[in-house]
Amino acid sequence: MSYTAEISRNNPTCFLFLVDQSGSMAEQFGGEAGRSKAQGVADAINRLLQTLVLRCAKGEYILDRYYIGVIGYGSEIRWGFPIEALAENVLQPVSAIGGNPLRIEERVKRMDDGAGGLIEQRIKFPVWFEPIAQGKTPMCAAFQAAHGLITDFVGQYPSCFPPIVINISDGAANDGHPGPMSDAIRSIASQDGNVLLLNAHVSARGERPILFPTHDGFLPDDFSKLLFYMSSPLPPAMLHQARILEATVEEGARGFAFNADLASVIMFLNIGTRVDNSAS
Amino acid sequence: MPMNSYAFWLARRGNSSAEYEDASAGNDAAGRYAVADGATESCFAGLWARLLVEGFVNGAACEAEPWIASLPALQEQWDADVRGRNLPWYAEPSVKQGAFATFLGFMLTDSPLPYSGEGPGVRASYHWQAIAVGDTCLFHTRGTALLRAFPLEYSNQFDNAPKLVGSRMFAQDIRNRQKLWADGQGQPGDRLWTMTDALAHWCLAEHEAGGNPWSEMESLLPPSPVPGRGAGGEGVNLPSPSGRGAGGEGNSFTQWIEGLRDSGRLRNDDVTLLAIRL
Repeated sequence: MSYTAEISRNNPTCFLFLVDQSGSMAEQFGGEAGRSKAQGVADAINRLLQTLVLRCAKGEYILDRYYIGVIGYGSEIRWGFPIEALAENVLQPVSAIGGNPLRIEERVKRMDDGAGGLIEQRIKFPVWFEPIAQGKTPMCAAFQAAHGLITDFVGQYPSCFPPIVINISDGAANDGHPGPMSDAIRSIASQDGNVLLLNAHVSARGERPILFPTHDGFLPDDFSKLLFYMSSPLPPAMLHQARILEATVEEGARGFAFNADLASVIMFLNIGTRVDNSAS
Repeated sequence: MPMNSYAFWLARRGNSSAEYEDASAGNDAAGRYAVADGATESCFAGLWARLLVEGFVNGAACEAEPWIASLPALQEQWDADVRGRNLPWYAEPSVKQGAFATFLGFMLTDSPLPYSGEGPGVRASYHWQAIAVGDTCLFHTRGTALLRAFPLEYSNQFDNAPKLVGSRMFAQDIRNRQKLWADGQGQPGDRLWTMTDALAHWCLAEHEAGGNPWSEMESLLPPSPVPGRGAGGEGVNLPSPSGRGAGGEGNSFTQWIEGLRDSGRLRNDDVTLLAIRL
């Protein structure tokens, strides 16, 4: 059966983020005043990276069950994290990510005090990824770069849980039609199944978020529809997980989110991280 | 109290010895022994497992309430050890949660019975009392017969969510764990086998299938008992005067466990076995 491979140090999987850094990412995010799309996406990615690191943390150590990379696309293709210790390779073991944040911020989190009130707690918020909004949208070039990295990864770990590529964008590619290149990425396969390509459309429009739709009927524009058709159908295990989180998800749902708020983006990205819970 | 204890362990395949998170300890003079299994999902679980077994064998409690009352001191030790480290950001959430482990500790006392033959006198006999939380098990055997399994009795009782003792858990929560205490009567020649879940599951499954796991384990022990602690297996973690296995080949335990893993009959997990020959 596909998408059932154990994710372990001996058989890691990979998460690759493709992040739109074009000029339009400076616009307001999903109706949230005072916050840009670029900032929203950076926060979401930083929180997800934190979650991925914590899932592999074991006391003072981090078990390398994942390789994680980022490719930014805007005024140029930016390979990897803008951190010197992570500069050598785009795909980095999760221990290297955990050990090398750009900085650690202290943020205040409001939590239930168990007596009907809220208490404020200071939490550490590591930052690896900064918001950038410059230039055009060379999405095809980013897909091309991802194709090479993922092909190499699957060559190295042929029985891995299929790599997950997450493309986060707010607008149309202006270096060609991304369809054929996205087909090529989805056609890369390990022995456990095809690479999963997920797309998140972050929009300035204030419409209700749409998560894992089955058809394109409610999608507001052609670009949303294009990203929807470029997204992998959710395999059964992910569909099951998605239904736990979002009861309205139906059979045939695709890994696509429109105008997802920050929480949905994280929920969306967390799918597909079934892990062997032992220390392997 | 003439008896011999033997401890064996092997880390999960693919892990180094440093990543082994079970623990076992024995105190022959006091007749106290314990095995614990640190939960892989928690952090510094090996440290917690070690504190639990050492606390038990060097303590006095052999019933549930006194044992529970002895835990806060161990919890403080765990906290002090962990707090003293310069921890990275990603260790903090799990340190706040604390470490977890399953535990089984038992104590043996002389309990002579009236001589069964003609004339006055007594015959040797032992009373054992055990405290358990979770799926680390004690099996009392006589020859090929299983007299008692505690706290689990059937192989289908094992799952991925055993009861656990936490390094930040309150007494009431530990008290609510089921099957805390049991006791039994043993006689010379009996065996008490204490082991963590993977091997315990295999033993019960073999036993239920009509097999004889006890004889297989018996072959790991030295043929003729010698006074003091013996040791077997490459991974023995109790002090051994000879520094190597007393059961012949020093790595026979390792070979045996690896064979069971290869055959798919033993789940790949840390394995710990503490054997007492009464």
